[in-house]
Amino acid sequence: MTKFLWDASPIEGNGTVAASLFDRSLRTSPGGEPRGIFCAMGSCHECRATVDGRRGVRTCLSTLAEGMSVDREVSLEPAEVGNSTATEPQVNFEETDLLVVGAGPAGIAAAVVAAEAGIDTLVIDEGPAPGGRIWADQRQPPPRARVLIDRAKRAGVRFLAGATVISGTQGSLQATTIDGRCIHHLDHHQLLLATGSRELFLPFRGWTLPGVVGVGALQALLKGGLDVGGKRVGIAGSGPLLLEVAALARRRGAQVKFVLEQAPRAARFPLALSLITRPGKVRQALTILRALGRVRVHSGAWVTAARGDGRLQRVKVRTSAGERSEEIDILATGFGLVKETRIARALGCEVDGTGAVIIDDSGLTTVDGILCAGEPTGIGGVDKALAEGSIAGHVAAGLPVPLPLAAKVRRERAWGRSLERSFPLDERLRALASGEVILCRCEDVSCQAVAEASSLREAKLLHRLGMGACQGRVCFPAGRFLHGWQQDRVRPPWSVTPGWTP
Amino acid sequence: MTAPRVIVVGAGIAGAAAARELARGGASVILIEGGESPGTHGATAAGMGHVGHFDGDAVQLELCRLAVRLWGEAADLLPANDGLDLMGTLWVADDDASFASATAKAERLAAAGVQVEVIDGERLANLEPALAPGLHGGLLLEEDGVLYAPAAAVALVADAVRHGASVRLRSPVEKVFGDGVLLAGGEKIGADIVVVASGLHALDLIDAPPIDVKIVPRQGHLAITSRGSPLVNHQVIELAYHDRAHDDVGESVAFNVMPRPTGQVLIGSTRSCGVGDGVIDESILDRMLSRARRFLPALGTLPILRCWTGVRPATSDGRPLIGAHPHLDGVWLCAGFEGLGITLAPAAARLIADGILDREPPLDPSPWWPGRGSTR
Repeated sequence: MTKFLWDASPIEGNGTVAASLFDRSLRTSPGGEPRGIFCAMGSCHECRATVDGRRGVRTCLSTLAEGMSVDREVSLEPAEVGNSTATEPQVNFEETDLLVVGAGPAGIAAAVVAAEAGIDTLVIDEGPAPGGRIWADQRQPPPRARVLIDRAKRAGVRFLAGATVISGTQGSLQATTIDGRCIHHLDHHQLLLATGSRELFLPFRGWTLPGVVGVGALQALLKGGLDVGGKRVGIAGSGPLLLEVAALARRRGAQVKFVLEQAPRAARFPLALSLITRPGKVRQALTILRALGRVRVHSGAWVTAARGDGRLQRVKVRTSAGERSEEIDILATGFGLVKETRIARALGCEVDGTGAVIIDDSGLTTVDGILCAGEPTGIGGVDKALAEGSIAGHVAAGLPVPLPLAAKVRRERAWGRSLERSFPLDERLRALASGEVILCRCEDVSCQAVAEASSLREAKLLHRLGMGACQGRVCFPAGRFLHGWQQDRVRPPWSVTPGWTP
Repeated sequence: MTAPRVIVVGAGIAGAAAARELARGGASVILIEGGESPGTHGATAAGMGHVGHFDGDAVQLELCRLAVRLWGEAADLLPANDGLDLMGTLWVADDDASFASATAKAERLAAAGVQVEVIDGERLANLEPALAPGLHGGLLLEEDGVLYAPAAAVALVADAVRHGASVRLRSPVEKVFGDGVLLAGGEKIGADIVVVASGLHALDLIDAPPIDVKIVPRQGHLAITSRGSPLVNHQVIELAYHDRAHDDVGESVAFNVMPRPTGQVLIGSTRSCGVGDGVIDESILDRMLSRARRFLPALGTLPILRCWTGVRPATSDGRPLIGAHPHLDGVWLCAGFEGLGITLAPAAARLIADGILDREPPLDPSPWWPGRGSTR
């Protein structure tokens, strides 16, 4: 356990700062609501706090250090601030042949191939260690992750962990560390964007209460050692991650009260059939199902409201059997994945109608010299990411792409598409996002405030939707489902961090 | 005389104000906007929103004075949480030379009837404790304010509608004639008078020989911090702003910050003459933020949330175009306000409506007439 100060009181914790503060409200929203950790992967910015005097640090990406001082962010009057200054960040210059943004499976697979071919390779990631969200298990990364990361290190790949790319142009990007202490100028000849995905969140009454977290967030927190022994956990949303996380929570001693998949069961039959040709995935599925034990899994079901006094206490659940109330301590919610394409779009890479970065067979985007691999080119999971990353690595090193690799990518892309088809979002979920239900968590913009807005631009300029610290990472994809709004332009800073000047 | 049928082209702040003033004066108004909503495009959507007394010259100051008074009268229309905030402007000097210019500026302002106070460095530090120590003082203009322009445009349009105006959104105008407009879809709408208030491209729309004055782009950058502290109590601008801001060529950077009701700080400003591509130039943005931090060091304690650009429609002689088109009967112009569109909108609207409705104007409108010869 690590001792640190929370609002000047000494407490103990483990893993990330936010995970150590899981039971607390971390901040108060502009409208006065308590908020706690939510996405746990750097997207929603709900966990930001002042860390060692630096405002705006995402604590879900910050590893706890002995004696660290973490403070709730409050609004200060000009006189309280005075002419205090922030300590100037350290400036660091790096030059590399291949810069890889994202240290998940795609990024590491590419780095291994490129570095083993003698290409100078630097991999940058927001997380505290290589592995990306999927392998972010510090205590027990899966064997194939360990093997790959070790291979990368042996091949001389340099990892820049805990830093986020915030601005720049092709050839020269700027990044800051999550704590804002250091600015990195990253000059490079080739660029691979392997920025992964984030979760899609859809609003319902009470989804902003502390205790309601993302499904991926709960997974990350559990892997990080969050103690859920005896806690009542509900899991609701969409996609294969629900069962995986339910199984993990149960193994860690939680009482999993329900799993609610919004898609109807019938939509998943083709997927189940296609599993016949995928023995690896069948094994994975069976392990999960065994671990689930007697946990009830409902299809065509969702949470209609979360309630509690300052923290989640119960939820209203809608299943085919009707509506009922259930007392729970933690609700994990998430409706699938959103391709993380912000940096690609900021650099001018074109996306298709589904929001995927357009690449050719060698992983090249529409911008010369920029490669893209993994989830941003289409949600498809770890095997697709590994294969696409490996192809990008070959291309970056000037090596021919092995034919089996190209075939594998085609197969995995098809699998990804059938996966997406298997979890169609139910139109009735739109009705949950209405009235006073918050749509933009950063600025507390309600669903009704923007119900009449005719464009994302109008919702932003006239109602402040997406004008807060997460820069629309949460509410824009929700707005796309709810209103059909198109994606917004990305402008610097691409991430809000302390210590940035362009 | 029957009520004239007037088309106003553009629902930015200038068009919104003109439509409202004309509708209130009894004209039958159709406001036509290419975008999906008033106030969400062009300079109105990108600017800082100051409503103040700017003394580029005596006639400009006189027009500002009228405008600030008219904004005060219209303030009740604006949204309560983000309406006209009369926070005052503090012009600050970072050296003796610019502090010396403060006295002359104060005299000009006072002579025009503007409430102005010369303040020394110590009083400045009391008024704005977050400013850098050692600034030489400056001027306090207590009657100045700021507003949020997109919301103000929406409010003005709503009031125009209350007075009988009709609004056509998503209807880009392709051509303006003396007797009406042609929409991009091919539809023609007739009118007795067309007021063109569409900013940068206003002159390009008009089916008439060119006038001497041109409208040229002058791009600016702005940045806003995260919530945390407004840091300042007033809008704060460096006194050298005018020298820095109004060169005709090249680019310039000046310190200009404004507290937002959200506890954020809006940071300006840059000017790139002839540039209007909307692309963020990180080197000038860097200079802008560095300069802002020199005056307001505490800015470094707040993460920057967002940066954006906007294009000011400047004119070749530095004055907006307010009045009848010299070569095409029935067409009026209300455009080319550079960085003063928000401030001047209600005054320009008043002059336009007075001209069209044959009323006595509150001040001499001739300096702004589009038919003036180029003065440079």
